[in-house]
Amino acid sequence: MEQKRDGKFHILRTPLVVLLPLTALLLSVFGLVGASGMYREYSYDPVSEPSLVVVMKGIRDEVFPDRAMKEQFMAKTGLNRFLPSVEDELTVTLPADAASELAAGQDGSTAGVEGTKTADGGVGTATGAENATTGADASGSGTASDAQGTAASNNATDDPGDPDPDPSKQTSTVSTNEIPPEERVIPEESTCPVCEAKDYGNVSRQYQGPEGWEPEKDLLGMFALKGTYLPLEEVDESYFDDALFIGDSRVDGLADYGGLQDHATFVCRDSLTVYKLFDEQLRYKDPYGNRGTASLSKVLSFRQYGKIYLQIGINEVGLGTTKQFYEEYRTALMKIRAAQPLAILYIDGIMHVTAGRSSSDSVMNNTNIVDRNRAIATLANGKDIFYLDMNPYVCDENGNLLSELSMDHAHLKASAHGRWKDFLMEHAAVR
Amino acid sequence: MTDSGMLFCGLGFLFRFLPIFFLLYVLTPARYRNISLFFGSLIYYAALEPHFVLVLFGFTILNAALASPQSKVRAFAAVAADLALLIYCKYHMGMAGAALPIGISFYLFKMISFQLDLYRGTIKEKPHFFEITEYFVLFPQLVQGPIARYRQMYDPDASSGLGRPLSFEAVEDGLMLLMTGVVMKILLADRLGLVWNQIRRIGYDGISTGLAWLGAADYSLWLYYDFWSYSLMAAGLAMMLGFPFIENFRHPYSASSVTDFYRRWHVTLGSFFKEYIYFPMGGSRKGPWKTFLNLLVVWAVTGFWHGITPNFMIWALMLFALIVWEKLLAANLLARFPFLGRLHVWILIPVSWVVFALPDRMELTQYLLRMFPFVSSAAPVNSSDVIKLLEGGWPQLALGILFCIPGLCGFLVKKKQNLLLKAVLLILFWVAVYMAVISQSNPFLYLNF
Repeated sequence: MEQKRDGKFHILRTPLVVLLPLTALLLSVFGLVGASGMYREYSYDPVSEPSLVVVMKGIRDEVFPDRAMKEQFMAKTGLNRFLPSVEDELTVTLPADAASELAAGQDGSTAGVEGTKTADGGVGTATGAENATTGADASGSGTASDAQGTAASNNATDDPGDPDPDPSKQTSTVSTNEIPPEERVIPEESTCPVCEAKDYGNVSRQYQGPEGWEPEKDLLGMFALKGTYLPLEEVDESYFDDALFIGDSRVDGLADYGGLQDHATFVCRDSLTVYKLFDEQLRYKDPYGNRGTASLSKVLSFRQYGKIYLQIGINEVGLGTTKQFYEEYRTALMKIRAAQPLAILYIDGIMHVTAGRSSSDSVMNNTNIVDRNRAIATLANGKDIFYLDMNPYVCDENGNLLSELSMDHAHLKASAHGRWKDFLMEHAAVR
Repeated sequence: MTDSGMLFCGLGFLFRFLPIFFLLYVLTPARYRNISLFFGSLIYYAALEPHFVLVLFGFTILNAALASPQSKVRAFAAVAADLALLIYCKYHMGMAGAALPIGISFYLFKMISFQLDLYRGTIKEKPHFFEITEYFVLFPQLVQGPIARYRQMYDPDASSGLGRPLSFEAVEDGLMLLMTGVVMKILLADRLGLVWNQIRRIGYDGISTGLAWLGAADYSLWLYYDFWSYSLMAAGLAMMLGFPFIENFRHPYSASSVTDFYRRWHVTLGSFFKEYIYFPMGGSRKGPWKTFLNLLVVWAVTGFWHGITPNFMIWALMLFALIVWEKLLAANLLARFPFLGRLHVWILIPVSWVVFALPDRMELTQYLLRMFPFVSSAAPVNSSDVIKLLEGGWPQLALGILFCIPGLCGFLVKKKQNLLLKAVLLILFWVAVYMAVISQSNPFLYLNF
């Protein structure tokens, strides 16, 4: 029987009248108190937003007064069971010619050139910890095993100034001006120019620069402009049999509609940024029917890839400065190189957005994108790290993504991915 | 550009405007609350749509000044002015590609209904000036309706100008509806919208037939929960201010036919057309041919009201054809096989929503060709696109279907005083606010009508 309504306040009948404003007040006070402490890096507009906004952002970023206390609490209450597992569960089954000896690759030996097959020549299983062997004459990995031998000999003879092939070591940087002029520029045939774009004058510059900053070149180390330059040439689809594509939602589109599904391996995730590249669980898809999610580290341990493409950057155009993006990108490349010492690395320039988006968005516009592409392009060396820029294949004369190729101003439609594939097949380095 | 923070689920509205306004409203003596609500509503609209607040103000004063019981000339002058503005905005601004002033279709219809009710004697006496103006600009109904009649909002037996008493229980009920609407919008509707956006991103020529149908279902649910959530928020806000609950959706996907569907969907708009166009023209009382004509007029006006691009007229005429089929041609068949009517709702309504959703002719053609693949697509199609989408989208699709069941909603309404339910609602509300803070929210779909 419904209780008689008398319009008066009764805590049990009208609790929300008190609880809603009370909880709002508590969160707001917490936000105000924390604004100068643990939430000091967050900002909000006090006119249009309540201070509880910083508390919400703090929850998202796991900013707590005491992280150790939080973890203890989660463990004692059992709430940690509801946290997403960071353990990589994905196990892939690769054919014998696709599985590789990573240890041989990492110490620069020529073991990969000789190659050994599994005892029964059958399928090897890679879980990251196990090693499987490569057949030297296997069609799919012929390039990889050849590359192992070539790379080993290159390291031995063409780069006497770089006796330690450990790519994860970052040696001292020097100003670009200290590099001899003839070594400062990658030959045209070994790189793509950064595709320029029209500036609509609406750009928020806070995400560029900082002012006066230019990326420095390494004299030694994996980015050094030394060694044998490889030209970018035309290849067929089999080139991608040992390719790994890493990236965000744009790579997700390439994975499904690019026409390389029967050849290449893809790891991607919507909204992925270079800052979270090694932290997130990525969607994995390879031509052998393996599907699942795994971390990038895990995927890099499955097999030796012949080439690795990295297309990332659009989601972080409004995060940090170009310098921060560049440094994080460089670190990511070094980690990838450490895990995959023999792979050719391709820095894919960030794909542009449409004119409609570029001219109306002060952050996600082609001017900011080009600024970032210019920075990451300097990481190429034309011998085993290349800068690719597919934008001329999908943009107009102003460097804007053609609007008929995109439904949302930022991603290619399914039918447009063929252009990207064409570009990749016409710009490949062959050892 | 619309400040989405001032929409009902925006932070600026929930944590700035609403608490400040409500406090001032409560502190205002009862007999002056009409005035504070009138000015508060104008301030709200000015924050949302600064360029057109003068239009709202001007037409409010004009309609209030012209309002006169049983005066044909003044009633029709007011209605003509309202219709002229509506047609100008819909047609002229629509052709120029400009966004319509927010809420214009809704508040002008309220003004028209008021004038006609006063003329017909449904409203016996001209109410107090501030009661009229408050009714026209009432901010809970300003953005997307409901198009509540004056008699639904005001007690005709109460003295004019006294305002309404407030009660804690009404505020509690109103808060529950408001919070339910916020949760529904952010945690359900917006998530359904993401699914549709993912499909759109692929390009309609590149989706499989399965995905095309899944997309139609998703859009049907998205539109429903987006609009229903707004209606709940609007109703809740009005209840907090002392107004009665106005129902705008009545479980439309449980309808027994398309005809029944449109008695349950956007109830206040349907009843407006019925009361001011269909019935005055004779309704269904003058034989099948007159019924046919009357339905044609109503649906043509419905199509125009929604927009001037051809897809809205095609959508409206599709529904007209279906309703004619049900009422005039297949009435006996449906009576014998009622399930056919439900199939109309579950299959044909989503198809009609696809037409509604896509004003671009090529996109619409591509989408329909994927739903009915008589011609293969030249674009690459991922045969697993349905599975891929369902992997991330199944929770919101499942919840969307679940809450279409009237019995479930009825159960929750019956238990609305349950403290556990209120606690869950409070938690979900804060989860929704969290999601709104960390991600960009979608504006309401009906915002530009």
